[in-house]
Amino acid sequence: MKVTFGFDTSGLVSLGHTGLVEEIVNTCNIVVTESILDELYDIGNWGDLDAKSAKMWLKCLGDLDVRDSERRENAEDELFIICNQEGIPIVIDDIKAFKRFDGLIECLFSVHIVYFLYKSNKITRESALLSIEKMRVERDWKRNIIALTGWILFE
Amino acid sequence: MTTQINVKLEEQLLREVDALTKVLHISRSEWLRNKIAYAVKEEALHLREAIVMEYARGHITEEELEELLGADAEDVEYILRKVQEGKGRVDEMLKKCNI
Repeated sequence: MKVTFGFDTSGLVSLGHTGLVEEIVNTCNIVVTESILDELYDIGNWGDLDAKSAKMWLKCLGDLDVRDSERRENAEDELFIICNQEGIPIVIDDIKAFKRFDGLIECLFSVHIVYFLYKSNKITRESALLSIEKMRVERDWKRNIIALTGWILFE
Repeated sequence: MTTQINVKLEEQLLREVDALTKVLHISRSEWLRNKIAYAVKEEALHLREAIVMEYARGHITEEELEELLGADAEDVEYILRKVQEGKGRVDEMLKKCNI
Protein backbone atom coordinates (compact mmCIF):
# COMPACT_ATOMS: atom_id res chain seq x y z
CA MET A 1 0.00 0.00 0.00
CA LYS A 2 1.33 3.41 -0.99
CA VAL A 3 1.26 6.22 1.55
CA THR A 4 0.16 9.63 0.26
CA PHE A 5 2.21 12.79 0.78
CA GLY A 6 1.87 16.27 -0.69
CA PHE A 7 5.24 17.40 -2.04
CA ASP A 8 6.22 21.03 -2.35
CA THR A 9 8.83 22.04 -4.95
CA SER A 10 11.52 22.47 -2.26
CA GLY A 11 10.88 18.95 -0.93
CA LEU A 12 10.96 17.43 -4.40
CA VAL A 13 14.19 19.21 -5.35
CA SER A 14 15.86 18.10 -2.10
CA LEU A 15 14.79 14.52 -2.69
CA GLY A 16 15.90 14.63 -6.32
CA HIS A 17 19.44 15.18 -4.99
CA THR A 18 19.30 11.90 -3.07
CA GLY A 19 19.00 9.72 -6.17
CA LEU A 20 16.03 7.95 -4.55
CA VAL A 21 13.33 9.16 -6.95
CA GLU A 22 12.52 5.67 -8.20
CA GLU A 23 12.17 4.27 -4.67
CA ILE A 24 9.98 7.22 -3.67
CA VAL A 25 7.57 6.88 -6.61
CA ASN A 26 7.32 3.16 -5.94
CA THR A 27 6.54 3.66 -2.26
CA CYS A 28 4.60 6.91 -2.04
CA ASN A 29 1.63 8.48 -3.76
CA ILE A 30 3.03 11.90 -4.64
CA VAL A 31 0.48 14.69 -4.69
CA VAL A 32 1.56 17.92 -6.40
CA THR A 33 -0.19 20.83 -8.08
CA GLU A 34 0.06 22.32 -11.56
CA SER A 35 1.96 25.28 -10.09
CA ILE A 36 4.53 22.97 -8.53
CA LEU A 37 5.07 21.36 -11.92
CA ASP A 38 5.52 24.83 -13.42
CA GLU A 39 8.18 25.56 -10.80
CA LEU A 40 9.94 22.27 -11.59
CA TYR A 41 9.99 23.20 -15.29
CA ASP A 42 11.45 26.62 -14.40
CA ILE A 43 14.14 25.12 -12.15
CA GLY A 44 14.87 22.51 -14.83
CA ASN A 45 16.04 25.33 -17.10
CA TRP A 46 18.65 26.70 -14.68
CA GLY A 47 21.44 24.30 -15.65
CA ASP A 48 22.68 23.68 -12.09
CA LEU A 49 22.35 20.77 -9.65
CA ASP A 50 18.81 21.79 -8.69
CA ALA A 51 17.92 21.68 -12.40
CA LYS A 52 19.25 18.12 -12.60
CA SER A 53 17.09 17.22 -9.60
CA ALA A 54 13.96 18.87 -11.05
CA LYS A 55 14.46 17.01 -14.33
CA MET A 56 14.53 13.69 -12.48
CA TRP A 57 10.98 14.38 -11.28
CA LEU A 58 9.84 15.64 -14.66
CA LYS A 59 10.98 12.35 -16.18
CA CYS A 60 8.44 10.49 -14.05
CA LEU A 61 5.45 12.79 -14.50
CA GLY A 62 3.22 9.75 -14.96
CA ASP A 63 3.96 8.72 -11.38
CA LEU A 64 2.88 12.05 -9.91
CA ASP A 65 -0.67 12.72 -8.76
CA VAL A 66 -1.06 16.19 -10.28
CA ARG A 67 -4.03 18.11 -8.90
CA ASP A 68 -5.67 21.22 -10.17
CA SER A 69 -6.14 23.68 -7.34
CA GLU A 70 -7.38 27.14 -6.49
CA ARG A 71 -4.73 29.59 -7.70
CA ARG A 72 -2.79 31.28 -4.92
CA GLU A 73 0.24 33.57 -4.83
CA ASN A 74 2.54 30.69 -3.87
CA ALA A 75 2.58 27.12 -5.17
CA GLU A 76 2.97 25.80 -1.62
CA ASP A 77 -0.22 27.60 -0.57
CA GLU A 78 -2.13 25.79 -3.32
CA LEU A 79 -0.73 22.47 -2.14
CA PHE A 80 -1.58 23.38 1.44
CA ILE A 81 -5.26 23.76 0.51
CA ILE A 82 -5.37 20.25 -0.99
CA CYS A 83 -3.40 18.65 1.85
CA ASN A 84 -5.54 20.40 4.43
CA GLN A 85 -8.79 19.29 2.78
CA GLU A 86 -7.66 15.68 2.42
CA GLY A 87 -5.61 15.32 5.61
CA ILE A 88 -2.41 14.59 3.70
CA PRO A 89 1.00 15.30 5.28
CA ILE A 90 2.99 17.92 3.39
CA VAL A 91 6.70 17.48 2.62
CA ILE A 92 8.38 20.85 2.47
CA ASP A 93 11.98 22.07 2.87
CA ASP A 94 11.12 25.76 2.66
CA ILE A 95 11.60 26.83 6.27
CA LYS A 96 9.40 29.94 6.03
CA ALA A 97 6.53 27.97 4.51
CA PHE A 98 7.07 25.10 6.95
CA LYS A 99 6.68 27.53 9.84
CA ARG A 100 3.51 28.96 8.31
CA PHE A 101 1.91 25.53 7.93
CA ASP A 102 3.25 23.99 11.11
CA GLY A 103 0.41 23.26 13.52
CA LEU A 104 -2.22 23.62 10.80
CA ILE A 105 -1.37 20.39 8.97
CA GLU A 106 1.19 17.65 9.37
CA CYS A 107 4.49 18.98 8.03
CA LEU A 108 7.52 16.86 7.25
CA PHE A 109 10.96 17.52 5.80
CA SER A 110 12.49 15.65 2.86
CA VAL A 111 14.73 13.67 5.24
CA HIS A 112 11.60 12.15 6.79
CA ILE A 113 10.79 10.57 3.41
CA VAL A 114 14.28 9.03 3.37
CA TYR A 115 13.60 7.77 6.90
CA PHE A 116 10.20 6.48 5.73
CA LEU A 117 11.88 4.49 2.92
CA TYR A 118 14.40 3.09 5.38
CA LYS A 119 11.75 2.04 7.91
CA SER A 120 9.71 0.50 5.07
CA ASN A 121 12.76 -1.63 4.21
CA LYS A 122 13.03 -0.07 0.76
CA ILE A 123 16.58 1.13 1.36
CA THR A 124 19.38 0.25 3.77
CA ARG A 125 20.61 2.52 6.56
CA GLU A 126 23.85 3.07 4.64
CA SER A 127 21.94 4.04 1.51
CA ALA A 128 19.75 6.41 3.55
CA LEU A 129 22.76 8.12 5.13
CA LEU A 130 24.54 8.36 1.81
CA SER A 131 21.50 9.92 0.18
CA ILE A 132 21.06 12.60 2.86
CA GLU A 133 24.78 13.34 2.60
CA LYS A 134 24.29 13.95 -1.15
CA MET A 135 21.42 16.26 -0.25
CA ARG A 136 23.60 18.12 2.26
CA VAL A 137 26.38 18.69 -0.24
CA GLU A 138 24.13 19.84 -3.06
CA ARG A 139 21.64 22.00 -1.16
CA ASP A 140 22.26 25.60 -0.15
CA TRP A 141 22.62 26.95 3.40
CA LYS A 142 19.48 26.55 5.55
CA ARG A 143 18.12 23.74 3.39
CA ASN A 144 21.29 21.79 4.03
CA ILE A 145 20.63 22.12 7.78
CA ILE A 146 17.70 19.75 7.20
CA ALA A 147 20.03 17.19 5.65
CA LEU A 148 22.76 17.97 8.16
CA THR A 149 20.49 17.18 11.11
CA GLY A 150 18.83 14.27 9.27
CA TRP A 151 21.42 11.82 10.66
CA ILE A 152 19.62 11.90 14.03
CA LEU A 153 16.80 9.91 12.40
CA PHE A 154 19.15 6.98 11.90
CA GLU A 155 20.89 6.87 15.27
CA MET B 1 30.69 45.68 28.43
CA THR B 2 34.30 44.96 27.64
CA THR B 3 36.85 42.67 29.24
CA GLN B 4 40.55 43.23 29.07
CA ILE B 5 42.69 40.34 27.86
CA ASN B 6 46.45 39.94 27.61
CA VAL B 7 47.92 38.72 24.37
CA LYS B 8 51.62 38.22 23.72
CA LEU B 9 52.77 39.13 20.21
CA GLU B 10 56.12 38.80 18.49
CA GLU B 11 57.87 42.18 18.53
CA GLN B 12 58.17 42.22 14.74
CA LEU B 13 54.43 41.59 14.34
CA LEU B 14 53.61 44.28 16.87
CA ARG B 15 55.81 46.77 14.98
CA GLU B 16 53.92 45.95 11.78
CA VAL B 17 50.57 46.39 13.56
CA ASP B 18 51.70 49.74 14.95
CA ALA B 19 52.88 50.89 11.52
CA LEU B 20 49.52 49.95 10.02
CA THR B 21 47.46 51.62 12.73
CA LYS B 22 49.55 54.79 12.27
CA VAL B 23 48.62 54.85 8.58
CA LEU B 24 44.96 54.19 9.41
CA HIS B 25 44.92 56.74 12.26
CA ILE B 26 43.36 54.31 14.69
CA SER B 27 44.61 52.81 17.91
CA ARG B 28 46.29 49.46 18.14
CA SER B 29 43.40 48.18 20.33
CA GLU B 30 40.74 49.38 17.91
CA TRP B 31 42.49 47.73 14.97
CA LEU B 32 42.86 44.43 16.83
CA ARG B 33 39.23 44.53 18.01
CA ASN B 34 38.00 45.03 14.43
CA LYS B 35 40.23 42.28 13.09
CA ILE B 36 39.16 39.79 15.76
CA ALA B 37 35.46 40.60 15.23
CA TYR B 38 35.85 40.12 11.48
CA ALA B 39 37.78 36.86 11.91
CA VAL B 40 35.13 35.46 14.28
CA LYS B 41 32.32 36.24 11.82
CA GLU B 42 34.28 34.78 8.89
CA GLU B 43 35.22 31.65 10.77
CA ALA B 44 31.64 31.12 11.98
CA LEU B 45 30.43 31.44 8.39
CA HIS B 46 33.05 29.00 7.17
CA LEU B 47 32.34 26.51 9.95
CA ARG B 48 28.57 26.91 10.21
CA GLU B 49 27.84 23.33 9.19
CA ALA B 50 30.27 22.06 11.82
CA ILE B 51 28.65 24.41 14.36
CA VAL B 52 25.19 22.97 13.57
CA MET B 53 26.53 19.44 14.02
CA GLU B 54 28.15 20.32 17.33
CA TYR B 55 24.86 21.78 18.53
CA ALA B 56 22.88 18.74 17.33
CA ARG B 57 25.30 16.51 19.26
CA GLY B 58 24.86 18.64 22.37
CA HIS B 59 28.49 19.78 22.39
CA ILE B 60 27.64 23.47 22.33
CA THR B 61 24.83 25.29 24.10
CA GLU B 62 21.89 27.22 22.63
CA GLU B 63 23.61 30.43 23.77
CA GLU B 64 26.85 29.50 22.02
CA LEU B 65 24.90 28.62 18.88
CA GLU B 66 23.28 32.05 18.96
CA GLU B 67 26.65 33.74 19.50
CA LEU B 68 28.11 31.99 16.48
CA LEU B 69 25.22 31.92 14.00
CA GLY B 70 23.24 35.00 15.00
CA ALA B 71 19.73 35.06 13.56
CA ASP B 72 20.21 31.68 11.84
CA ALA B 73 20.43 29.97 15.22
CA GLU B 74 16.65 30.19 15.64
CA ASP B 75 16.10 28.30 12.38
CA VAL B 76 18.69 25.69 13.32
CA GLU B 77 16.93 25.03 16.65
CA TYR B 78 13.56 24.92 14.89
CA ILE B 79 14.73 22.52 12.16
CA LEU B 80 16.40 20.21 14.66
CA ARG B 81 13.25 20.12 16.81
CA LYS B 82 11.03 19.44 13.79
CA VAL B 83 13.32 16.72 12.43
CA GLN B 84 13.03 14.96 15.80
CA GLU B 85 9.25 15.46 16.01
CA GLY B 86 8.76 14.27 12.43
CA LYS B 87 10.53 11.01 13.22
CA GLY B 88 7.78 10.19 15.72
CA ARG B 89 5.09 11.08 13.20
CA VAL B 90 6.59 8.83 10.53
CA ASP B 91 6.86 5.97 13.06
CA GLU B 92 3.15 6.40 13.90
CA MET B 93 2.29 6.51 10.20
CA LEU B 94 4.16 3.26 9.55
CA LYS B 95 2.44 1.62 12.52
CA LYS B 96 -0.99 2.64 11.23
CA CYS B 97 -0.18 1.23 7.79
CA ASN B 98 1.26 -1.96 9.36
CA ILE B 99 4.58 -1.40 7.63
